[in-house]
Amino acid sequence: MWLLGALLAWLVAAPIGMLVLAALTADATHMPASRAPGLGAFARAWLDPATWGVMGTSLQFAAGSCALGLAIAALFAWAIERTDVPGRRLLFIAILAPMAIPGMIYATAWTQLLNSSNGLLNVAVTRIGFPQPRIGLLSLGGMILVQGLALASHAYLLIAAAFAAIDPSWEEQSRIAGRGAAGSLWRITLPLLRPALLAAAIYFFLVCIETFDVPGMIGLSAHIEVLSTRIYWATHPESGQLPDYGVASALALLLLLIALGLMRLHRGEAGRARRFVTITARGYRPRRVRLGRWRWPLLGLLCAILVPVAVLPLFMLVWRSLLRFYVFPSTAALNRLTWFGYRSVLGEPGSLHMLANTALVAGSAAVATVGLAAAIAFVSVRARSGVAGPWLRRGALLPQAIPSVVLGFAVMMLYLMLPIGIYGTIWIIALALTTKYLAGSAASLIAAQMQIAPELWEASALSGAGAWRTWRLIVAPLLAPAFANVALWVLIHAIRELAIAIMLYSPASSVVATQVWALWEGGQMTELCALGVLATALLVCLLSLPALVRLVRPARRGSAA
Amino acid sequence: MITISGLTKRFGSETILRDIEMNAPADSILTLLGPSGSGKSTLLRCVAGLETPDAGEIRLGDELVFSARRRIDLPPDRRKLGMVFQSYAVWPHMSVAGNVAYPLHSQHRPHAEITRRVGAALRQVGLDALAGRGASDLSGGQQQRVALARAIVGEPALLLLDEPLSNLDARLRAQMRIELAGLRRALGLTMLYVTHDQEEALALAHQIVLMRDGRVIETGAPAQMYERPRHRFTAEFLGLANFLPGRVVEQREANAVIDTAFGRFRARTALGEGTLPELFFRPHQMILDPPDGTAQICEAVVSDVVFLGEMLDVTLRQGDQALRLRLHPARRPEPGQRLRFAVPPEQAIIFLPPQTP
Repeated sequence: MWLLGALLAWLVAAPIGMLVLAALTADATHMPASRAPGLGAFARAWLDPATWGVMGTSLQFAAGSCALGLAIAALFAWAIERTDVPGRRLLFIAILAPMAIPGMIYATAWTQLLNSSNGLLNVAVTRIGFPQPRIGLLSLGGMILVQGLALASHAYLLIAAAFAAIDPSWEEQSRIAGRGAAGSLWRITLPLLRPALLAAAIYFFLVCIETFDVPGMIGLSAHIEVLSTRIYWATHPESGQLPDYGVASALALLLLLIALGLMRLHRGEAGRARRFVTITARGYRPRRVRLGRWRWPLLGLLCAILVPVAVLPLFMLVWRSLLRFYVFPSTAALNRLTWFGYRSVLGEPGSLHMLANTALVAGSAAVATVGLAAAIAFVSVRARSGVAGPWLRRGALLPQAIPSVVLGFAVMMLYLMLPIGIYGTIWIIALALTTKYLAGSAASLIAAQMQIAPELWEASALSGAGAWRTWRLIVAPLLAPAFANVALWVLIHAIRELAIAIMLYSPASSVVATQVWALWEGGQMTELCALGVLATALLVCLLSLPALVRLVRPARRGSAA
Repeated sequence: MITISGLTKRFGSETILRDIEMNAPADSILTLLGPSGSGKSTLLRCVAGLETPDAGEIRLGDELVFSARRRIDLPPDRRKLGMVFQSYAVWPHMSVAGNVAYPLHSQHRPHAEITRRVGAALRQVGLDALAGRGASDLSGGQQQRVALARAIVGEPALLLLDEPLSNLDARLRAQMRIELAGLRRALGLTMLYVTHDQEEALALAHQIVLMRDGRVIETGAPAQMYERPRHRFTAEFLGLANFLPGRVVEQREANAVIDTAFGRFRARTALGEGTLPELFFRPHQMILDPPDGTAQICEAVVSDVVFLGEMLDVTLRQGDQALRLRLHPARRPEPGQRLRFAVPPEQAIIFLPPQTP
């Protein structure tokens, strides 16, 4: 237990302490802890009007993309879970498909679709005969559009359960009470969903505030900064200038405070949402809203939304990856297709090294996270005695609120100062990723472990087994599916994660995400899209792994996980 | 009040309701009774407009609300009825008063009238003290009352109830049953009441519609259905029943004399000699220690006695046949003791086995 506590302190508390230390003592000419503490950095960061401008942009960006993403997700969740719209299974797969595209790749695809000179959509519009539209992607509106569309599938996954949990008799009672279908949706269904939707809105607002992918890639070209990219650029100034770690730390602490506040709000709303869910104890047959003649129009609308959400970005990615120089899609362009992009991505001498790095980083992060989370779950669920259990749990769940950029930056400074020798290696990336995903993993393993009836442990103890033996012979086998799912979840996110990787990589420890960043900065679109297609294909395989396993080996046990 | 004809409902390839004919007079309680899966809830939901039948007609009062042939299907919000769901469906995001006011809001009633009528409805169900309470903090019994107040506040002519008491404990159930009947009398409502509990049906209904496998088996007043069922299923489903296989040995005047394991019985019916009917009577129809001179007195051995508080459950056994009867607890027969009883011929019912080809 103390060992675990120490591990957590090292992973979580040390980086945050480092931030505070740096904010108090560092500036452009001083490294952290090399001079007496002062509040100068906070003054330079928090009182700078530019910071408040960036803050305003951040809020607009987050609010806008959150609204767009949730609106799309809510429409799909309602249609798929609560109506008899045709083709629900396919719609379900289609809305989730964009999850396989890493955020940075999604953003790349959209730059090709909407850039103001030769973006596919802009050209298509002018070809039909409209004047050249003036909205380019390189604007705050463009960033909101891309982030919102990218968010839709994640938001769907989070809120679909709330739609499915609505007791249909609540709506039916409203119909009997004299309201029409639309009135019932407005007065009963939506208010019932409000806590769940609000909780999701807060959560994704936080995600948008801290995200780096879209603001980093589109914002870089558009010269639009949000808080997360501001922190990155403060640590990576233009050549000739020295990074001001004090200001960067103060900004990072600001972002961390915002994130912690949002996380608190989210917990409150999520608690309220659970209170509403299914007061009835009895099972009910899920009854769907009969759309009648609106079935096909609704399907049409959903398909129309899927075009920008999934179809266009995927198509663009593949199309661009097969062309050395961009041309508008046509049959004439087909004979210009080339494997050049793929050859140069896979054929380069460094690329094998990069792929091996990625596998090593993501794999070790997954193993370490699951191991640590399992230990925390075991101790905190079982430890009824003492105060250590709850503290351990709280400490483990904290990193959920630490934005990736902040964590990456803090870890970077920490190992810059500490002479352990992992700075600049892939292990520092793996370490930061482990910290980042510890919270989510611990939360889900704690939940899984709570579902194991206490009698199962007690029976084992009465049979004379100690704690370790009980865990090995009883708990671990029952939780094996949960372990596998969590490991997969970490693996997928570790491959996608950009902000942590670019804060911590060096040329020797390049991974897929940082390679994407480098190709983007170098403007090598063909290679970038080819790498994007490969990464997406890999994620599709990983994402469909659980379904495949279920196909091959039907579930043996109904319990756990 | 409700007239249903030729109603058929299918879910996929499964037929849930087959050619239902039903007629409920106004100002009465009609109970749809049947085991689970008999289609009674589906029938109720068809009346409410929550399910669309595949064939047939439903008329509420003078209004044709559903007709497959004429393509009429009034949505539930325009059928002007009240409904109490099994799960109560009390909206958890509204107060008690908010729940009850909802139907009036959808009728766009003036504010003062809504306040007055909500108060009146809550008083009627005894919840006026809880008007401002959030609906999710209520007990099951209180939620049930909210659901009831909400169903009657709009003064519908027809109230639909889908197993409204099944989630309450036994004591509360008995009390609510009496309150429901009183409320109905006070408001002059027609009630269509779904239940699988035969006791509830007997206690509440003016008329029972007994269903099985999507068909109406028998319709009638509770006492008549209980004592003079026309179908064996009705006899079986409505309460403790004694069945005895027997053989007609002679026809004496209006009565058939039937030989069974327990001796000879008479039944008011005409049957050919040698017929093999099944004799049915309820425990309370058995007359113990009949006066001498009663035709056909039987005698049997007590095999089990179970003490039930206000009565005894006694089993008589003869070979592999058994009869059940209820005795006053003052009388304590011992197992092994012999009891004499008779069944009046006009109370014994005959079921003929299905014709075997």
